[in-house]
Amino acid sequence: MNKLFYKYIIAIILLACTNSLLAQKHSVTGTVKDGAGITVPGATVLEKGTVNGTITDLDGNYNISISSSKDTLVFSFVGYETVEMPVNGRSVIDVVLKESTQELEELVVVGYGVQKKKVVTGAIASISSEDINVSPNLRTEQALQGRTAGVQVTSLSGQPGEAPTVRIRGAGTTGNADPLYIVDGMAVGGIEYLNPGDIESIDVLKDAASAAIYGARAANGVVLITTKGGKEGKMNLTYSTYYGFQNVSKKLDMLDADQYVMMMNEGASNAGLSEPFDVNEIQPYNTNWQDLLFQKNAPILNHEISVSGGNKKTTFSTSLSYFSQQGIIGGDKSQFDRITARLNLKHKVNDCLSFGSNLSYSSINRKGIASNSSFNGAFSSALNLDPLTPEFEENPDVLNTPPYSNEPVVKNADGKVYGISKYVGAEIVNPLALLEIQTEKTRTDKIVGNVFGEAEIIKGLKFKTSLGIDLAYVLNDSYKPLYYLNGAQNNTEKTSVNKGIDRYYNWQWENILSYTKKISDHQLSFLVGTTAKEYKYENLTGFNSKVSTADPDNVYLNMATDTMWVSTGGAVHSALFSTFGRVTYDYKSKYAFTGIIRRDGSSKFGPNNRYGIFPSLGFSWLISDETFMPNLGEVSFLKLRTSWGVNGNQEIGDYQFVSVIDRSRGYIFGAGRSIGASPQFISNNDIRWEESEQIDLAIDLGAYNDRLTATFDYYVKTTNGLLERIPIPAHVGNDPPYANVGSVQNRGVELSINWRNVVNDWRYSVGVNGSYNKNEMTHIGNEDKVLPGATWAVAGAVTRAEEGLPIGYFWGYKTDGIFQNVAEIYQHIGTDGSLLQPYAQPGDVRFVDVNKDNKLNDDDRTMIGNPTPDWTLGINGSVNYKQFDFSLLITGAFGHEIFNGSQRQDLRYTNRTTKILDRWTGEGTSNEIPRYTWIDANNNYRISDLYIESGSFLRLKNIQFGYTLSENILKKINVSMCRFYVSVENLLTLTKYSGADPEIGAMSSFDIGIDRGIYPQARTFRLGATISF
Amino acid sequence: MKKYIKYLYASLVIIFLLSSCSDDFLDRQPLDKEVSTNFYKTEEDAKQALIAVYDVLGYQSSPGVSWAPFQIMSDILSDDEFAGGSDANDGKDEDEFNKFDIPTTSLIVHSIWIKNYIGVYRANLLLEKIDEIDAPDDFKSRVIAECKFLRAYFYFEQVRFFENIPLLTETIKGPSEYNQEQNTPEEVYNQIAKDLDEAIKDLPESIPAAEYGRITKWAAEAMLARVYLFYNGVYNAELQAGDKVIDRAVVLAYLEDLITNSGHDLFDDYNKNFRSAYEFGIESVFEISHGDTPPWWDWQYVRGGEGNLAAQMQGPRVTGSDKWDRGWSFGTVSQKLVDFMGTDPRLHYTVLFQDSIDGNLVKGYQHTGYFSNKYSSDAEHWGSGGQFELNRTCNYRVIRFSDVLLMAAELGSANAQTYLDRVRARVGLPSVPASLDNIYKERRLELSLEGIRYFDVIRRGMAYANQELTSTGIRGPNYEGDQQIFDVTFNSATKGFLPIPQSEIDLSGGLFKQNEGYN
Repeated sequence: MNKLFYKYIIAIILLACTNSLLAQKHSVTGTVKDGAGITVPGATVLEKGTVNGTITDLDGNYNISISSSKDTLVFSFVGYETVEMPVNGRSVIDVVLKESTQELEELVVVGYGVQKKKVVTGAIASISSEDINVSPNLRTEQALQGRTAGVQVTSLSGQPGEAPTVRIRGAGTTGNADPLYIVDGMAVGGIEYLNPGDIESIDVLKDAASAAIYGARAANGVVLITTKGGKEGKMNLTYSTYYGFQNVSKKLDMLDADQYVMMMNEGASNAGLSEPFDVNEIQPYNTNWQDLLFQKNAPILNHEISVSGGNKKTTFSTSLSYFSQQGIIGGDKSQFDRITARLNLKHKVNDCLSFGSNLSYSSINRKGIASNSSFNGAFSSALNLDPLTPEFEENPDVLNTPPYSNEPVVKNADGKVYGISKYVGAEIVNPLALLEIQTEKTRTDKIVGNVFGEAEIIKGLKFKTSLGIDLAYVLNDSYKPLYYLNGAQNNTEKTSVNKGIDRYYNWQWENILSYTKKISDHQLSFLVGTTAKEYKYENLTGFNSKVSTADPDNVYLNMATDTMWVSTGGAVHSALFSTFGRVTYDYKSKYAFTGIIRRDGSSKFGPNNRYGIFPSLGFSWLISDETFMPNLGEVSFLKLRTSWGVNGNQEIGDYQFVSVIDRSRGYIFGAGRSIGASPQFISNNDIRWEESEQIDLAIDLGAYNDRLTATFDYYVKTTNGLLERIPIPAHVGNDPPYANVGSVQNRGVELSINWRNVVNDWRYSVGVNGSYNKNEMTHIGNEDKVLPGATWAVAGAVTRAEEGLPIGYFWGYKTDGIFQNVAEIYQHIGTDGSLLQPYAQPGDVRFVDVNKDNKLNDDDRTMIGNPTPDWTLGINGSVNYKQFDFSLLITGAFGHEIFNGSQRQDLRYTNRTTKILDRWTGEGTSNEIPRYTWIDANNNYRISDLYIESGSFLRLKNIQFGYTLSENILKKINVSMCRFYVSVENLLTLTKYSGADPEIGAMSSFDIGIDRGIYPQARTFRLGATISF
Repeated sequence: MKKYIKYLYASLVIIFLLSSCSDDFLDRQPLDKEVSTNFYKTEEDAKQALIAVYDVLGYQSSPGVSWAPFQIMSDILSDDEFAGGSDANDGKDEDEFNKFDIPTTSLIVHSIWIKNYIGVYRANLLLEKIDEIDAPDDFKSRVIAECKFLRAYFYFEQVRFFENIPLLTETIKGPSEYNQEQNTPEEVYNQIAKDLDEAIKDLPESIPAAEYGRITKWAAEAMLARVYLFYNGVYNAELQAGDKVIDRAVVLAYLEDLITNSGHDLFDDYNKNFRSAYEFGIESVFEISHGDTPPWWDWQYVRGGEGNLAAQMQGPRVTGSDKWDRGWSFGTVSQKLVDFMGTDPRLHYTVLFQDSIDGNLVKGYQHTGYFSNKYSSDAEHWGSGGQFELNRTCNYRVIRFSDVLLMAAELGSANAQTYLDRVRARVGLPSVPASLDNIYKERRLELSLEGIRYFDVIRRGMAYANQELTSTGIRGPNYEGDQQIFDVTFNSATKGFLPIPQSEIDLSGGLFKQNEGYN
């Protein structure tokens, strides 16, 4: 019924549109130049009020036929002010375009539409394709790094393809704090499938008022990505490529064989044990595991071809890209390959009706290793394995003894046997052998696309319908060969294979009706719309053992011969239905108002709370346009903005409001295991969205003819009703339900200042953006006001959330130096005279009885650090001189701490950094590093501030030199543009942090800044070229 | 006119846009799982719900809390085992048990507490749902009886460890009921007695081999005796199962019924009790199963697997051996037990001596030279897949027939002498008079390292507990480390109970009181 009705409507709209194409009869020619008298090629010349237009050729000349000699021509070009020129019967019109930094006239994508930046009332940061591609990014998120105040992008690790952590105005939730990504109107789960080269612009909706148009999913901010469309005119073909070499930028100083032997003997003798090594014996090996582990010149490369163009009716943009990156650890075991293809089309049927589509296909092949793990990380092993173990064991006598003689030890491609440590055990293994047996890979095929139709029913009244899908198949493979890494890490009985396939499918249908009307100085617009979205997921996995294969890259379930088949499969579905509206009004751009309301219905919540309403209001006042304003000197533009809004967050699993039966229970009776079933958790019918309310106060400023622009924002963002599984009394007998139980507040300021200027042949710009954010849990609705957090290695909890403190703060003991002598131990007493650390010996750590209860126990743990920076900073600069260009990007974060857990102090025989050489060895030798002992009755390495280091850093993220061939040469080779460049990433990092990399993103909301031996980011040299025809 | 028609069309479009989407679109139920509102319908549903209750018997850890297998933790509390582990920090929580210096924040304590209430919840839930299930009455009555037995089992473990606990015989219906008060031990024990007494009537006498492991009438009878002996010992009172008094005579009658009619008997060979081939054997009155299906890998969710963690913990820390796999050397056996057993033929089946271990033995914390030989990481109990530590296959024999004989003797059976003689004769020992003292001695010789000793000591009073559980200056020839790490002083202020977990007190809304001896 509905369908038929809808067809009917479309047909009516088609008929209602009138054809307005008229004959053309007047011809105009001329040249377009800039202020310096240089011709401007590629400038657009348009007959005003029509789509009739042309672009200037390489010499800046144009030739256009227009319908009447009384028309007006509009000349425009990126970076110049637009000029309107009445023809007045002339047939030759030369125009000088004034170079412009008129950022404030630019259009901003605001969600379901665009707005003039001048009348935007919210906090929206825009990044153009020029900024995005100033240095080619590996991932789209990186384009945001250091470029926008209030948007913090932190690499999770240096592993290829790993998604960085993106936080907009701090973490507003203890759940999923990732922003919502909207690509060409489609909400997508992640953006790794995008080729950064395809992106036209990125707009970040930072404040709640702007984001409210995305309602229930917008509380973490919204990132709107628009891909490139075609432009009418000459067809453009561009080929870009780069090739780079990646290397490790920092290695840690570890003990060498002699130092190691000395320290281990010391550790043993301090424990009253016999020394394991004879210091007179010369150790045959002195292995530097980091030297062996890190790849030299790991390649990274990219090829990209794009073609765009179009005529008055149809424009298109299509591209094909191939990107490949190997990791600096593991080489092809840690590799990310991506192929993308895209076609964006738009066709104008007539003046009132147009259709289009954005289609993309991506294929991603990814192999990964554990990138920040205490238990099976290659880098963690390299830092902890002793230097006495050889890379390869080649001594035939040793090879003839166990475990080499009787276990499936790991060999490299040449048949050489990897050495096995005689000393360090547990999870610490030969990292090269560990890499050798890695076979995990993920292959993704993804199609994201939408088709849309747009009709202007009457002037100003537009209707748009858009249907999109996001479909992905993900194949997961792993093969477990026979291996023996050490006594604890081995698989000596059966090889096995594990395969899984996931299908992710979601569709979205949007209908939007918008109306704009200008009545003298009053500009008014309305927008109403609906969105329906459905998400489906299904998976299938299989596992079996006893695989016969020689090629670990090609293992299939059919090759497994065991009888123990394991297969699983399941499905999930969810839906969202929303209606929304927006009103904007401005008077001469001087006073602007935006009001938004959205109502979302979500299947994630039960009937009690299925619908939520998210309103927002915004005002701006262009104070510099007021006549009463005194002359502000060079300040030409001054705008005050304020906004208020409410957003939601619904990122919890599905069906949390019902009581789901879990069949993972079981019990073994005589005949074998039987399946049991009971509710997975207590249900809570009343759960509802997290609600995030935000106010924003801001000043936008332009001065010196807009060469200087600045924006200052102050915001307070309060999230209430945090969805958490909050601890409940255990006698309830089942896992707790999600409940709306907490509040968190983020407060901060953002400032960005940009200066750009042209002096003769020099064009330069400098931008600085900084933000300060304070994060605080303001309420936790359980009895002890605490949420448990992340754990580290075998030591247990290291982070948590607590009322009055930041999310995920580091939690442990406070230390107070080292006991220098026995007397100090006896002086370390409670007020009642009891000895606080009875097991301590001189050289052990003095811990603080924080709660003064005369006991030193778990209750004395307190906040010892905060993983979230107070300040983040980005500096970018560029200089163009004739054919040369130069740019740099500096990013920094300050005022936070890192938990340096890359060393396994809980195990004997693990190697240490050379810092341990400064340990306590007698009275007065050290007040920071305790004595080294294998029996640590004092538990010196319990979680304490000894692990905490400042995480502040300033990083030269990117530096680049480019050269563009001059037009003279280009003309000869019939090329319109050709540029070569060389760039370096992560050239320099200033930090006091002693670990491999201070940039450690969030593994989860509570697991931030914990270094478990993190896969560091590479220093990358790249050579690249772009050529357009 | 044309203009107006356009407006009309436009408003039609708007109406379409805003036409409310039906709730059906948003009403999404799980696709691959049932929800409790459409489960609990069929006999098969009831079976699966029952298995979920049994599932908790095998829980020896709670995610994010700690490993706390009942057997090893109670033996570490006793004077038979030390904490052990690789070093003082490895077994810090265990060492606190060993030293009776247990903080209220102990993760092991919390783990035990959590486990038993999960079991109680699942039993309560099924008891509430059983009426709705479409099944024959005899099926239902057996399921109810099994639930009652299991609920009693979990409560007994809980009250024996914690004394002052909330007693819930129904599931909690919502947040307003979360906060509960602790009940008196009397109330809890009487509920246990009632559940067991009622269960005895409806439980089967025999189980087909395919269902070995399900509860029998005999298991309930024996369990009631164990409950009685502990309650009567500690509180010097009789149990009250509803209107029915459960006294010595009632309990003894159940035991005589078991001994006479159950078909249970002693194995000819004592060692068979701990061997893989004799699981669910004739001597096992109640046995908790462990195994390697499904092969388990997940260290974060250990209880999803079925392995016996106590066996992994108690195994010697050895590599390169064909007989023992890589254990963690917790629960090292005391010289005191070895001395007590002397030349008893059961000694070598009970205690593993370091000399008999081949391969490379790493000596850990509180190394005594002795390990448990009953539940250990021995070759026959290696799992065939998964992470080896998580897949030890040995079943835990909770109540053996020899224990039943000794309980009957202790309760003053007319056949006390015969029963004691049977236990001794099986291992080739001569008769001794069936005095209480000899019966107690025999219990320790027969049942040590099976999670029984500690409660046998506690139920004999604090004076006895002080005498037995405090051991200072006792040092065996193979002990390694300072004497002070082996010295243990019992803290009778706690009456031998564990502290109520601090986090539970914190979550109780001020209703829970901490046990005596802890603050």
